[in-house]
Amino acid sequence: VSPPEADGCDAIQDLLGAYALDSLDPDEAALVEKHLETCPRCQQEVDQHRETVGLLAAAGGTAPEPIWDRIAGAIERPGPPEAPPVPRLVPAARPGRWRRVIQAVAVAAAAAVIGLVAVGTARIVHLNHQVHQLQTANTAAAAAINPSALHLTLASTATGRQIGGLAVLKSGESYLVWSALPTLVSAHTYQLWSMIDGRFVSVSLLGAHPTTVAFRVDPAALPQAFLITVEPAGGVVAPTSSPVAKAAV
Amino acid sequence: VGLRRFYGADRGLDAENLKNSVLPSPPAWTSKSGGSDEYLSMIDLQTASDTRLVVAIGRWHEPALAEVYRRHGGAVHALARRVLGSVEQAEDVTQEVFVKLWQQPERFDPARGSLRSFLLSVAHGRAIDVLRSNTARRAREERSAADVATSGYDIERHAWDLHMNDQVRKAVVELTPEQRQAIELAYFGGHTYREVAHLLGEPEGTIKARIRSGLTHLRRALEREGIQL
Repeated sequence: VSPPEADGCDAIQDLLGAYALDSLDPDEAALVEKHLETCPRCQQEVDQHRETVGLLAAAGGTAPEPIWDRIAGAIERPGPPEAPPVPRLVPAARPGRWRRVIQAVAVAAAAAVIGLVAVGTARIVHLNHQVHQLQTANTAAAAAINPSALHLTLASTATGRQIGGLAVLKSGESYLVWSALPTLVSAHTYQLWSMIDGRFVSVSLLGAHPTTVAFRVDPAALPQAFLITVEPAGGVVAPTSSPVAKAAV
Repeated sequence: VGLRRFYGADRGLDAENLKNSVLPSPPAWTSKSGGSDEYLSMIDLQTASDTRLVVAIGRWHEPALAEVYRRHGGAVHALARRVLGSVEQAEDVTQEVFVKLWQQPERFDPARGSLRSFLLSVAHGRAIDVLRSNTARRAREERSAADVATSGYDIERHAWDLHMNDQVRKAVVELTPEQRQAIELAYFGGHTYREVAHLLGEPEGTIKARIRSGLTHLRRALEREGIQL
C-alpha cells in the first residue's frame, strides 16, 4: 500500500504547472489546493513555477504614482474605539492599532488647522502625506549626521533624560530627527514652540506620536530654545500647558 | 513557525523577538534613549530587504508599503495590464494587491519565494478573476482569436521579450516554440489550459503537460544562467 501522499501526488502533479499560472478550472484548482495543504513537495513545485513565471513578467518600469495615491487613500486605518473621556499618556513601547488611529486623527486635525494657527516667524512645513513623510525621514536622517548642522538634545522636563533630537541646518531647514515622546491618546497633539525673547512662538504641530517632522526656522534669528507642549488636536496659538520637553539652543 | 518571528506586536506577534532579530541596532546618536524603532526603520527603508519592509508593514508602517510599491508596483501594474488589456482594470488590480499586502502581510512567506513573485502571483490571480467575470467575457472572447493569430508564429516580436533582462531572454529561447506558446496563452492570455487546448486544436492532457514541462525547463535554463530560484 503506497502512502496517501504518493497517491495524491500522482493525480495532482500534472496540474501543478497550469495551477501556478491560474489556468485551471475552479473545480480542479480546488482539488490542487486541497492537496497542497498536506503536501510540501507539490507546494514547493508550485512556488518554483510561480517564481519562474514571475521572472517573465518581472519588468514593468516605474510604479505609477497616481495608483499610489489611490492605495494610500484606500488602506484601512482601523476605526477609533470610543475616545476615553480624559486624555492620558500611554507608553510608546506599546505600539498598537491605537497609535495609527491617534496619528491619523492628529495628522488630519493638524492638516485642517494648519492655515489657522498663528506661526510668527516660523513657517509650518508639516508634511502629512506618508510618501512625503518618508522623504522627510530620509532628509531628517541626512540632517542628523550633517556635521555642519546644529544638533540639539531634546530632554524631558520631568526627568531630564534625553527623549529626542533636533537638527537645524544652516539654511533654516530643521527636523525633529527622532523622539521617544509617549504616544498621546485622545484628541491631543504635541506642539513645537520656539522661545524668542521669552515669548512662545508656534513652530509646528507634531502629531500624537512624533517620529520625524520637518519645520523651518529663521537661520539669522535662532530662538533661545525649542519647547514641546501637549495641546488639543489642531493646536493652539499660545501654550495651554507646561512644556514636556525642551531643547536649549 | 518561521514566519512568526517576522511580525511585530501590532499584528499580535512577538515584538521582542522582532526587535532583536530583525531591526538594526540604533546608531550612536540615539544611544542614550534607545530612540524609536519606527524612525530607525525609516532611515534604512531604501536599502532594507523586501522581507524587512514586510515586517515593517506588519507594524502598520506606511512608508514601508510606499517603498514596496515603489519597488514592485510597476511590475504588478504591467502584468495586470498585460493580462487584462485595460489600464483602468489594471489600476484596480494593482490597488487591490497592495491594499491586501497592507491588510494581510503575514500571507507573504519569505521561505516560499520572493516578495515580487508573491505580489505578481496575487496580481495575476486577481486579474484572472476579473477576466473570467461576466463583464469581461465578451472582450476576452474577442481577444482569443487575436491571441492565436499572433502567438507562436511571431514570438520574437512579443512584448514579453522587450522587458526581460538578458539572462531571462537567454533562458526563454531554450523553450520549444510550443512550450512558449502554451505558457504565454495561459499566463499572459489568461486562458485555462482547456481553452488553450481548444484554441490550438490539441488534446487537453498534452497542453497541461506542456505547461508544466515548459516551466520546469525554463527554471533549469534560468538556473544555468545564474538565476537562483
